[in-house]
Amino acid sequence: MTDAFLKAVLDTILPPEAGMGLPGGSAAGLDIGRQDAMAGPVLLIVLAAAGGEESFLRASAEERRVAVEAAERQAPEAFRALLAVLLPDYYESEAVLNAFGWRAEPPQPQGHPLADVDEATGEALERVRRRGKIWRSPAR
Amino acid sequence: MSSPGVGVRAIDQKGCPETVKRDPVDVVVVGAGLAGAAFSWRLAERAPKLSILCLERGGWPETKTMPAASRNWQRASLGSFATSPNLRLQAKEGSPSADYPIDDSGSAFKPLMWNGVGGSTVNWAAHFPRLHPSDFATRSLDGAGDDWPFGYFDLEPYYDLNDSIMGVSGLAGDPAYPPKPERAMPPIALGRLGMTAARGFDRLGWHWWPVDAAINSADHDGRPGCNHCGPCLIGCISRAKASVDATYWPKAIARGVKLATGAVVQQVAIEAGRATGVIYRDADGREQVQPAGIVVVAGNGIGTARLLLASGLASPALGRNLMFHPAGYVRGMFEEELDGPVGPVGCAIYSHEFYETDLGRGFARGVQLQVTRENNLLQQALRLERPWGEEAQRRLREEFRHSIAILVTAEDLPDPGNRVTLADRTEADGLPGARLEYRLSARDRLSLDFGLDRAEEMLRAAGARRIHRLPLAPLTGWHLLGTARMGSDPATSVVDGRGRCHAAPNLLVVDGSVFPTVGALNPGSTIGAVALKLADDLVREVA
Repeated sequence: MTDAFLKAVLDTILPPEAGMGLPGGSAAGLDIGRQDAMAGPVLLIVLAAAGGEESFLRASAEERRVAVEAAERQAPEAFRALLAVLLPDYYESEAVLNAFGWRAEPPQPQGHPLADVDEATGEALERVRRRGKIWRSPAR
Repeated sequence: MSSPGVGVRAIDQKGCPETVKRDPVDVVVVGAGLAGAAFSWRLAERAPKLSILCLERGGWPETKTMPAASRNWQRASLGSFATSPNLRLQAKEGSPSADYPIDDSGSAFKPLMWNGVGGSTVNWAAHFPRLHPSDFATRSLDGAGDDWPFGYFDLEPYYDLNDSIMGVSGLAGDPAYPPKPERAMPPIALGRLGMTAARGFDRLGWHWWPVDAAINSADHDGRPGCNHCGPCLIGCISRAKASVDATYWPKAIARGVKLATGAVVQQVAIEAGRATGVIYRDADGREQVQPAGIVVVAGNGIGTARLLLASGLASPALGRNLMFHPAGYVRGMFEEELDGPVGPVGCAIYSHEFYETDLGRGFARGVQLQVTRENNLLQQALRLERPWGEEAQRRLREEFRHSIAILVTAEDLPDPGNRVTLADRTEADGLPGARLEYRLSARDRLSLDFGLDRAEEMLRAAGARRIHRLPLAPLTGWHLLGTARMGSDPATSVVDGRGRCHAAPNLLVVDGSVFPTVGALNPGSTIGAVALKLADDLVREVA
């Protein structure tokens, strides 16, 4: 299988979105060809469904999606296993996190700021307090 | 009273030439989680002359192994630091939790826990509500479930004591509860997410309140304030979140309690209706016999039942009445930007508007609506029905940093058919496998649907532009309760109101297994309080 075909399949699973600067799977540095055991059965089904590599490469985005769906349908376990490998690499990549407006650095040690109660929320809480007891008293 | 079966041995029989018989102790405690820690500390404080040994199958949690400072932290939440022991056991890199597999194929909910010093407080959300007074008298009030042997106000001083040791951030004055003392710290910041949800509750005139959280909102008791990093469920590197390895255990050890790690208890030895000690496998794989005057089990609703069933304890209710809390989610998508995966995931606000019984709803007892914070990006993606392709990414763009999920927990009533049993196979830890059977009843479904409807109503009132409902959330099985329930009838309960087994009075169970009913909310606060009370009960007996 050619690199172009492998990248095209990967970018059908994890497509780019130019508007938000989201890279596709291949631009995010993933390589579906490295996942032989899981990708093999999936890629063979995609090939068959598309009618060959060239056909897949010439196909529209919708036609490519239909071919990948065939693999999802016909080899569900392999497909799920492939996603289990691809998705962590993708959603932990700096470019993808940044495109979603998130930072690549881990949660610690910086942590995050978190807004404290504003005036309107404080007033709403006071209304709850003023309702008085809503718990039931059992016999004591 | 015991009924030894295959593999069950008396304590004075030598299992193999390498078996070591240790010097007797007064009390041996099995399990170093919340209940075992609180019980051990209190017992040592009140009865300092007792020799107390706690045996824990796992090790101490080490912050250096926790992934929140690693760039791979998201995937760790699916592998070595997943909340499910079954998922952790599949992790290629292994896990610091000393897990055993659980056959949950027959259960609507998948059990979640941590096995090691600290127990599930290592990876819990630390939402720390108390049960309501009515929760202790559901039979008397509503003709459902069973009454506890004691009431809220009997437990109240222990709730207060437990709060003081764990460290609670929150706000006194919640009208859903009897008055509570001032919390040690102010509430965890609500964030935009919490305030948006509060707006929805307010518009409907419904109750809401900032949660009691066992998380420092400011420096307290030698631990820092939370910096809102987000992923509490993969362990807390900063130690802002209370876990009993950092709260109760240092205090218990200072009081003289001995804690042995890597000690997998294989059997409670029972002879002529008395527990005589335990047999355990130490960290080097050697069998050790530990005689004890009193045996205390605190291994959570699954681990406790598994051990006592494997020990041949003759008690027909043992393992039965497993309760989790039926749970589902409603997620609302908002136009405005919210916080994303920031702040303690389970600790924002809750509503107990529908907590107490209103038979007009068609069921007894109630539901809790808990406002939860967002998952990390990877988990949000994997949660989608089809997590690939353009549609998945469109959904993710719509949701990430723009969604609020309401976790609805309904009261779980005891059902003997929901239970822990032993599998035929022996697991690597030397014990028989654990198998769960748990089904939702029609009443459970009705109450859960009622709660999901209310959550949807609230999210729409708060301004959600789209709603997604998850009618059942299988991976919410944190609350492992009821399998060694308290009661007076040995046919329908396992222990009495002091935690003593009907079949062996010097064998105690002190964890959430003893709950006769469980309310509709998180049990950690009550597990700790009950353990403290049962320790005091024991002191009165042995003093």
